[in-house]
Amino acid sequence: MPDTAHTRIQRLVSLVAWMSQRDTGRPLRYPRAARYLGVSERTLRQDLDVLARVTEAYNPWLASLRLAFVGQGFVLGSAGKFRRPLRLSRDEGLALVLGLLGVSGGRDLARRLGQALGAAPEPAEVERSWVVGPTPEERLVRHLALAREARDERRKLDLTYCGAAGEPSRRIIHPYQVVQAGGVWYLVAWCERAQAVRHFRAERVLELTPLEDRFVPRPDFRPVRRASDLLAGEGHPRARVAFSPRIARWLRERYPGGETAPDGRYLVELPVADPHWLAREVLHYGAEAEVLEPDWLREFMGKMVRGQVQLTQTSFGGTPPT
Amino acid sequence: MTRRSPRRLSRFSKAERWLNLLAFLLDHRYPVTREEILSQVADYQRDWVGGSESVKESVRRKFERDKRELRELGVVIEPVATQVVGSGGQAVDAYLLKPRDFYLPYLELEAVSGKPAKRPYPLPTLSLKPDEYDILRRAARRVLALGDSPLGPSAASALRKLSFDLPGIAPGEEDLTLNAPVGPGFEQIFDVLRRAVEARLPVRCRYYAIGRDAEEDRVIEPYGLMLTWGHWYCIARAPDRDAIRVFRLDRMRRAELMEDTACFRVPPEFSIRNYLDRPPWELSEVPPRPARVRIGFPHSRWTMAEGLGRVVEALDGEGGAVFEFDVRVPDAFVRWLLPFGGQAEILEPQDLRDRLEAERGRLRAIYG
Repeated sequence: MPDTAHTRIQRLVSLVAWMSQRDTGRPLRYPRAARYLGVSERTLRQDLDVLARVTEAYNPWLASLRLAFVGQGFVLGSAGKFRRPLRLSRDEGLALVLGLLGVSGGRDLARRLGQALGAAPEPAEVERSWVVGPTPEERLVRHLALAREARDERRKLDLTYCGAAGEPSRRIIHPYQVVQAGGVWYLVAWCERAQAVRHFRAERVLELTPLEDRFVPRPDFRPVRRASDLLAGEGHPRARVAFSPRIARWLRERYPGGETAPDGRYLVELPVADPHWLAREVLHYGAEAEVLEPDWLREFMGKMVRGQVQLTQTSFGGTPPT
Repeated sequence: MTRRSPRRLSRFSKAERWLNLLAFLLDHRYPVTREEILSQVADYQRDWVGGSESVKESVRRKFERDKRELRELGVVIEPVATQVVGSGGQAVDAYLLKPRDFYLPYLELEAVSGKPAKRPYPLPTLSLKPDEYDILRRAARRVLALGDSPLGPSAASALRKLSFDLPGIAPGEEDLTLNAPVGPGFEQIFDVLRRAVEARLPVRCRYYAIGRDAEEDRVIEPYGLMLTWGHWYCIARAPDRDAIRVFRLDRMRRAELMEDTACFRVPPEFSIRNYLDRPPWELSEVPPRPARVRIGFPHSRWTMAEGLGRVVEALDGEGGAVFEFDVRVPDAFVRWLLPFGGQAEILEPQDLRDRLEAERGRLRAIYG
C-alpha cells in the first residue's frame, strides 16, 4: 500500500500509544522507533514532523500530547488522546482474518474477533475470495516452532539435515532467524561444525532437538533482510548467467542489478552457495537460461543435463510457476 | 490588512487535519455540530471562518471526503440519531466519536492473574481462552506470509496492535517473509484486482502468457486472489474462453476496472481454496491430462514427501516409482522435470515425452 494519510495516522497513533504505555520518560532513538513501526528512519522523521506541526499551535484537544526532540531521539507521550491503538482498519482486519482462516480452529475466532476489533470483512466473504499458502506440512510446522522457541530462548539445536550432497549430516546450530522466501522456509543459524552462518532449508530438516546448552549471539552476525541475502555468503564463488531476450524482462525483476548484453540477453551474477541449488534454479528456465562461467559450473550443468548428477530436492517452491 | 502568520498560509497535510479532527471529536463527550467542527478544527477553520459561501461549500465537501476516507480506517463519523439546536436556532446534525468506536478494545488472556495494565478509556474487554490465544499466535505466523506484499504493512500493523495487550502474539523481528520481487506498478494492479474481486466488476488488462510467449489484451472476471510460493495469483473467469483461468499478477502490465459494466456473478460452487497447494502444472482450469513418469530414487522419495502426483507402481529394488500426474500446464511440468536429469522419464503421453526430450536436447547443445 502506498504511504498515505491512512497509514501515517495508523502509525502515529500506534507510536503515541506505545510510548505512552512504556511511560519511561526516556528518549527513544530513531532506529528503534523505526524498527517498531517497520518503516525507514526517513519516514519516521516525516511522521514526527506531522506531530510536531499539529502541536505547534495551541489546541485544547491536543494539549495533552507532548513531543520533544533530543539528541539522536525523541520523547513522546500523551496524558489524554491516542493512548491506545485504533481499531483495526479493513485491511488489517482482512490480514488477521486471512491468518486465522489458515490455521485449524481459526474460523470461529475470526468470526468473533473480526468485527469486535474493527472493520474486518466477514470471514465467509474472505474465505470465498482470498487464500494464502502454501499450507505447511505438520512436520515443518513442528520444526519451525522448535526453531523459534530455541532462537528466543538462545538454546542450541541438534540438527540432522539432508544437505545438497544427499547424505544426512548432524551438527549443532545456534538459530538466529526464521525466514520464508518464495514459499520456502529457511533457518538462518550459526553452524558449529562449519564455524560460519548457514541457511538451512527447513523442509530438509530430518530431526531437530533443543539442547540445554545456550548460545550467545555473535556480534558480527548480519541478519537476512532481503532475498538476495539468502544467496549471498562470504567466500562463495559467483556464476555469470544469461537469460534469453524472451524472458529477460521478468528476470530483471527477479534479479535486479544485471546488465543487458548487445544480443538482448540479460546477464546477472549469482553467488554459488550451493551448485545444486543454482543448477536447479537455472534449469527451470530450460534453454532460456545459460550458465556462462565459471567453467567448472558449466561442466556441472552438462553432467546434470546428461543425468550424471543427482539432485536431492525436487521442490517446486521458489521456482517460477506458470 | 491583517498580517497572517506563515503557518496560517501554509497547507495542512491530510494527516495533520485528520489528527486534529479526531482529537477534537474525542475531546467532546457530547455531540458537536458540523459548524463547530469546521469553525474550530485547523485547516477547515482557515477557510471556513470569514469564507464566502462557495468557499464554505468546498470546506463542507472536504469534511464529507474526510469522513468517507476515514471510514477505511474503521473510524465512522456519522451524525447521531438526534439532531441538536445549531447556532442559528434550527435543528442540525451533530457528531459524536465515542472511544469504543475509535480505540481497539482491551484484550486479555483468561486465567492470567496479576495486576491489570492501565486502562485509560472505557472500552469493552475481549477475553481469550488459552486455546484461542494459541490459535491467534499461530495465525500471527500465517499473517507473516503477507510479508512484503501489498497487504504486508497492514498485516504488520494489525499484529502490532494486538501485541499492545498481548505481547507474545506477534512474531519477533527475526521472523521474516520475503515474497518474489515485483516491478513498478504492481501495487496499482493489485489494488484494481482487489476492488474487482470485492465489487465483482470485470477488469481489462494486458497479460503475458508465458506458454504462448504472447502479450495480449484480456478481459477477465476476477473471482479471488491467492498468495502462494511468493507470488500473487488471480483466479478469474475469462469470458472469451468461457473458462476459469489463473493469472500471475506480476505478468500483468496494465489493469483497469470496468466500472460501467454490469457486475458478474461468482458461481456458488467456486472456492478459491481448491487452487491452494496445487503445483504450478495444475494451476489452470483446462482439463487435466494424466502423465506417467518414472522417477528414480531418491527423487521419488522427495516427490512423495511433497505429496506430488500419485504412485501407481513401486519399482522394486531401486526405490524409484512410477507416478501419475494431472498436467494442465505442460510447460510448467516440463520445466519442473528438467533438473531431474536422467532420473525422470516421461512414459506417456508421447507428445509430453517429446517435449521434455526436445528441451533436454537444447540444453545438451548448450553445455555439450
